[in-house]
Amino acid sequence: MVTDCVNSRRSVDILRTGHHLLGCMRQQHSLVPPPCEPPMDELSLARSQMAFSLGFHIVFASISMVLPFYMALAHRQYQKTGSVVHLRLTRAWSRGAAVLFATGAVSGTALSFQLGLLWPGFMKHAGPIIGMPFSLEGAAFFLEAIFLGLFLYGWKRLSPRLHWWTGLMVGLCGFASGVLVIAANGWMNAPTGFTWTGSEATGINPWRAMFNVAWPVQALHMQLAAVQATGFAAAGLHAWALLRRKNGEFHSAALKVILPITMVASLLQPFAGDLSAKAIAHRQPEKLAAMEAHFHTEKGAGLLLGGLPDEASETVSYGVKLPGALSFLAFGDPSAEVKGLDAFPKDERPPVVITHFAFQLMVGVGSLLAGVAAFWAFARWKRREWLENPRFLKLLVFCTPLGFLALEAGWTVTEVGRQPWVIYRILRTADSVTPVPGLAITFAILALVYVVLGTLSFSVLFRLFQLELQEPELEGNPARPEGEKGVQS
Amino acid sequence: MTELVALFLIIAFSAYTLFGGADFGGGLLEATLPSPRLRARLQATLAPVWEANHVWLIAVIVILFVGFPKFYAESMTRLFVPVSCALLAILVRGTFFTLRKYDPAPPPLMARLYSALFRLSSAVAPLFFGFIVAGLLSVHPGSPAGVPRGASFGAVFLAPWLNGFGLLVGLFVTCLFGYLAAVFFYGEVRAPDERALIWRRILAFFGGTFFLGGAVLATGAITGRVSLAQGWHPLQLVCQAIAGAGIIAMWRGRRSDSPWVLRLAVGAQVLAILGGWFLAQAPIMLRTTSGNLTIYDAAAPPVTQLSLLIGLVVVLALVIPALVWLYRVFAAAQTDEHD
Ligand code: HDD
Ligand code: HEM
Ligand code: HEM
Repeated sequence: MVTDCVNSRRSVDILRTGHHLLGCMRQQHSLVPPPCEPPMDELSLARSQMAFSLGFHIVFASISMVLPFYMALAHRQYQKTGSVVHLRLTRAWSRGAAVLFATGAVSGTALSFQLGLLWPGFMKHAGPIIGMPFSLEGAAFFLEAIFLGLFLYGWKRLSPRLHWWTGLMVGLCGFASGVLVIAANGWMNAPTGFTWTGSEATGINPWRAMFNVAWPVQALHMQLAAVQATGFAAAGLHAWALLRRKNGEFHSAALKVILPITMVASLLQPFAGDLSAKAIAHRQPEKLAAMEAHFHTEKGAGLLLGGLPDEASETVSYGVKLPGALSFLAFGDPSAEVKGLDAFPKDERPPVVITHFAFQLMVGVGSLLAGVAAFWAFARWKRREWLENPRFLKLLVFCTPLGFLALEAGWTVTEVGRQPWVIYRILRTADSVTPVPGLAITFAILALVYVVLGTLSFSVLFRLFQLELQEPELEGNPARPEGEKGVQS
Repeated sequence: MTELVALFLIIAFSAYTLFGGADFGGGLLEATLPSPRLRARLQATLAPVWEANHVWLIAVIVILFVGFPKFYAESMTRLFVPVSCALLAILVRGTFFTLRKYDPAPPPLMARLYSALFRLSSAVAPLFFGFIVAGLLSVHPGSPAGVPRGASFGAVFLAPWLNGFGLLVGLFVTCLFGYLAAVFFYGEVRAPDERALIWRRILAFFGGTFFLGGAVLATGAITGRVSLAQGWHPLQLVCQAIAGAGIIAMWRGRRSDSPWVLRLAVGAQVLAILGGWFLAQAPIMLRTTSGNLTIYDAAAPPVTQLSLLIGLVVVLALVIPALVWLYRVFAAAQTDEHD
């Protein structure tokens, strides 16, 4: 590897450290014959590694944002009625929250290093501009840790009302940290709050950068997605247990806590997604074009369903087009002009196939889950017995992975659809990647570690739930629910 | 203002060294404890430290990339290898600690694996922290704006830290963390024989820290990484006096009823060591063959620094009362357990 470096393209890349911007590169190293292209394989490795870590983190982060709310709801129920089942649920969920919190924190710590390890050129510019949400996220996280500790150790120590409140705060702080990191991602999509000289940011305004236009829309959509993904995953598992007729009371109580929030989020999500799409139509037209595999600019553009895009010939095979629908969804007018990929230079177009496929997957799942939610709402209103029916439970089991599938697909749309930029129209991903060679090694190790960690964490969670169900009967005591029982940790 | 941001950085860094150090050292100490009872006791005391521990590290990282972005980008590039290794150890350690704590019924082999990996990674992480520190003390090829052209991978990404000096610093940090953990744990045991046992551990780690520290200074001075002339700086003298007084106070603290005399004495020693390092280095963050990167060169624009400071103050105002509250509830819960 060492000699390899001296005379390969990688060594050229080493030269460029600190001048990640092509502009200043060309001036500085005008002696190097052709302006050095970044080594494509290292770049893709860095991107895959980032995607892998984020894709992992987001699962744990989403669950740990949502689980505390279930816990607080069950806890409330227990305090009101003294029902043992709800006490069990509270304890099981609080332990789950503790495990996932720790895994989320560890993977998040890894991410904050990786941003610097893999993308020094990005962090050098982005750090001072978009650091605010990260520091505030730190605060939210710190408080979340503290409240979780208070909840776990507070069973005998805090008054019932205060104890319940600490549980709720765990959820609220986690939610806040999710919303805050999205500000950073929103800024990458809609960079504001600075002036770009071509190689440097001047006139920085961190607050304007934080309150970028993409933030509210993305945060809304993401938080609904977290509720939905966690909800369907959890509901599916409880439904599966119910089908196997084990501890029926426990699992149906769990479903009663989980389903209402999940279903409401699922009904709202298509509207939030539509807001996102409209925002993109204005903000990042080439991303919309890639999502839709919309190669040619046209008025009254159709919405593509399915289809296999071919980037070379700029055509789509096997798709169905709904006439005018894309124009309508993007701009609220069926004859509006929608820019196609041909409106952008070739080296500024995002990869079409991945973006399009991921978008279809997300929207497909989103519509399906919205359908399930509508069914649930109707049944709740008119036909309660349908919800007890094994077929409904089977439907829930089927939906178990779908929420997370859509969530990962959604991030793929956002991130791949932003390519080739890491900061939209400011900094190219290729110019921000680390010059350190050998990323294949770190990626392999990291992937292995994550897979092992993920598997082990979930198997521990599973055993935690089993244990909770095997413990000898606890006695409910509505009068002083907090007094005698509870857990230490 | 840059100095103020640097001060926050130092505070967060010191907090991480003290609390995180005791925590990492806990894994090391655990491996040296003979009785399962003591080990279980140690695990119980480490729990709350762990929950708060990551936050200091995150605070260091965030202050670095918001407040000193050029340094962050440059050091993460040049020290890619040791930082990645330390990160890996942190990941493994954190996860296996959690799994071990919460797994209700691990299969026996699993339980052994959890502990083994937890202990191993607890020792590996400080070793690489030491390598990173050695890298920061060393002179790197190139300039603060980038690595030199045509240099080999080894010369740029390995040579500055992967050497005898780096290994010494690594062992020093590992020993120091073990020392911190032993001191923290001493206050948590009551039985005289157990106390005597932990005291022996304290002495062993202290001896190791002392001699390795001496070796680090000597090697550093010989290779020009540490300037001994710096030692006569008035503040440097204060640091050394505190470290010395800390050693005396430590011996007296052993007899005291309150664990805090000992803990504070040793905490002060460690802070004095850190202070000595910062003074020796300030205001330079990274040295290269063609010029140094100081905190002023690396600093973000004033607006960013101001917002960062505001953010940090808000964070502290929210977090400190909450932390005090948690500590009290936790202490009360622990006493309940003992009665
Ligand atoms: C359970 C998960 C889930 C579901 C069911 C949906 N989405 Fe989504 N979507 C996400 C999870 C998600 C996400 C992972 O949360 C993303 C990635 C970044 C973001 O802010 O949200 C996202 C991004 C995202 C974007 C890109 C936003 C950007 O780049 O700023 C658009 C246009 C949509 N979505 C549109 C939709 C539509 C029209 C849906 C119709 C039902 C839909 N999504 C369902
Ligand atoms: C580049 C992207 C990201 C980075 C660098 C990052 C970083 C981190 C870090 C460092 C932590 C540990 C705690 C702390 O903040 O001090 C953390 C935890 C967390 N992250 Fe992320 N994160 C990223 C993306 C996301 C996203 C997209 C979400 C969700 C919307 C998210 C939600 C959370 C939550 C809820 C926690 C709290 C810890 C927990 O409950 O597990 N993160 N993240
Ligand atoms: C947590 C959910 C997220 C997921 C699943 C995710 C997914 C991805 C994917 C798939 C890529 C690779 C893109 C490509 O190779 O084409 C990527 C890159 C990246 N993401 Fe995200 N992302 C998430 C959130 C974030 C957030 C919140 C930030 C910033 C604060 C962020 C910053 C980055 C950066 C810097 C890169 C590398 C540069 C680039 O490829 O543009 N991501 N992410």
